[in-house]
Amino acid sequence: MTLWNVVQNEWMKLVRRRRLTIVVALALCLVGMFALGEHHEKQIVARVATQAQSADWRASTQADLQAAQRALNQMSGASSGSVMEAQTRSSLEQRIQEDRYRLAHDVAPLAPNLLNGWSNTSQFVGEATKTFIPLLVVILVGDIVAGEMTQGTIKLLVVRPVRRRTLLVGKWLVSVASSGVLAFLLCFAFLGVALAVDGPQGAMQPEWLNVSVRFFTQPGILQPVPVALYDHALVWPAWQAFLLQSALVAGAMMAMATIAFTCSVLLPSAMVATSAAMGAVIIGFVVSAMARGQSWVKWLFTTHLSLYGDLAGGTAFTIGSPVSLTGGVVVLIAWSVVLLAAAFVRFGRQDILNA
Amino acid sequence: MNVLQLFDVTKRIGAREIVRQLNMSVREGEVYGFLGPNGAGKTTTIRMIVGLIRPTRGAIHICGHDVVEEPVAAKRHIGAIVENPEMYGYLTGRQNLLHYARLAGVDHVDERIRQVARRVGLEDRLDDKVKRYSLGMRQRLGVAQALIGDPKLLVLDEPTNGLDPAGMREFRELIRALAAEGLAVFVSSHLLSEVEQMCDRVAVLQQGSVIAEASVAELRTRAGSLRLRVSRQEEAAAWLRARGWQVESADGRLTVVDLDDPAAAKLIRELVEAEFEVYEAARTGGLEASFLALTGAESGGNAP
Repeated sequence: MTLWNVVQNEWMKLVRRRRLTIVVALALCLVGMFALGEHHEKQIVARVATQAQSADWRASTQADLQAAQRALNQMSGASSGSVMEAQTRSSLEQRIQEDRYRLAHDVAPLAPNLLNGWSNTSQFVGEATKTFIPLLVVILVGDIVAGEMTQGTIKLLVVRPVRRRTLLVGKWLVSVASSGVLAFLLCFAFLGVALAVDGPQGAMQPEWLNVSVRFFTQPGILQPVPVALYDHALVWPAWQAFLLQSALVAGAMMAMATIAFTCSVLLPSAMVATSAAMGAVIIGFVVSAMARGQSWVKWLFTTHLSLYGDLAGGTAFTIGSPVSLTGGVVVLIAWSVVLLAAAFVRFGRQDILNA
Repeated sequence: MNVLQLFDVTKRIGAREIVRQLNMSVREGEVYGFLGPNGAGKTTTIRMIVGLIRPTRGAIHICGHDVVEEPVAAKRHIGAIVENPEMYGYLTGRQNLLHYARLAGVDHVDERIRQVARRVGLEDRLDDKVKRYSLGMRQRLGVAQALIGDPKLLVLDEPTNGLDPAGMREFRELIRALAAEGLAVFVSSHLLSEVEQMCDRVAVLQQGSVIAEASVAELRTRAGSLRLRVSRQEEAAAWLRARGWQVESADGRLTVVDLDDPAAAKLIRELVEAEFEVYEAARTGGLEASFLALTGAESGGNAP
């Protein structure tokens, strides 16, 4: 009951602060930029000559499927374990899965002069969730405790007949919920403009999930070569994959909110706390790109802000070592739990001297 | 009944003892002044009472509940203004009060907000954003938020800082009225005059220790000085000296030192009977003299 009151209070403060306006304005800017980008791309592909959609795409897909299966059977005899072989095998498997999916669900390939708003949004969100959306989350909640310390309002909060723990739980719940909602709405705003600009086609086009990436080391090649493996891959329609992606983005942003929240408890001022959380996002982003191939990169929380990338294989290519969705989720949860524990210990005991 | 009790409360931060072995108690209906120069440890003590910081040793009880052991039960009875009452400027007065009412566990929130707003005279401006409030209005809102949970103890840290004289008087009257209704009030100040006009009892804090505790009435009657403007000034001075008083004569005034209230009254009567005209007589408060004597001259309250 008390907790619910705290949550109501924190929600009231969150929605009435100027920070929310800033976040919404920045988000709208990005949505606008994305819409412009799509519009530009649409004009480019519109120049491609329109081919009449061949009525017998099923026949050609069937033929392609058989050809790919034959080629794969021929390979299965000898296995040299070379990169070339793995890449060929992998692309054959992908072709077979795609053809089967198209035949089973009656999904014709998109004409080349049409954009797929679904997969374009998916790609864009995959990038935005690594830096831009986390920064919005930090702006939104990165001072939720430190701001009250700076303003001095924390005093009149702690003086109430409510446990400090309860105050902190309420603030955390609101940070996490608002960040999740923000991320989710933002994903759908991107989708909305993409579909408005590109047209609604593509919802049923195939997307690959659960792609594992293997790294081949070869004499004479310095870096291990990543090869996407499709043996356990799942093929989903784009709209379903997008829903899953939005949920994963929301989840990752909840972890991001928890980290920003901890900064706001551990650091003394709104300014310092917000900057530290922003710094962590940007440094993490740069480090995971620079330290490519180092195994410790997968323990950074910033590596897994795009959880969908962990699932679809993109993250493994970026950081140069294999990851899985489970691994990514575990890393994010571990960071959240440890930091949250530190925040609670600190806030529970802290003498509030200067606020 | 004692609403607030401090038992041997000590706070150490680093190697420094900010306050040392404080023992105080405040009864219901009493306004208790906590007087001392800036830096004496007043704010630290207040922050311990309201649970913002923990005592290093000792215990603080509010209505019998230990602030550290049973914070929720103890804080249910406190309303506080700690230094400036910072409010959420982006919320309206009503939203601020709603916010605090929810945390105080108030039952009929809307009605309670109306009550406290009327009490402090803020009904008309309740739906304005607090950032548009004047300092005086913020102060009233501060009192309103302190009263919202219907506390038994009101803790005020330098409450009249920044108020104009009219605002100060209004504030004092409000505090006296609240005490008359049975509220215990613990108020810190570095202003002697303020404490003198508002409080029933006073503790004087210096360098972290209480060096004196007495009722204001008692302190007031203690020895002080008397300033007089009389006819035939030099003659009157000589007359008084002859009778054993210590008198200084300067700037058209006589100053008689070291006398309490009854002695001052007697002296004035004798002067009149000896046919000196007494145009003006002012006690430079016994309280001030006591305060200065207690704290040492340089750290005295800078009474206006």
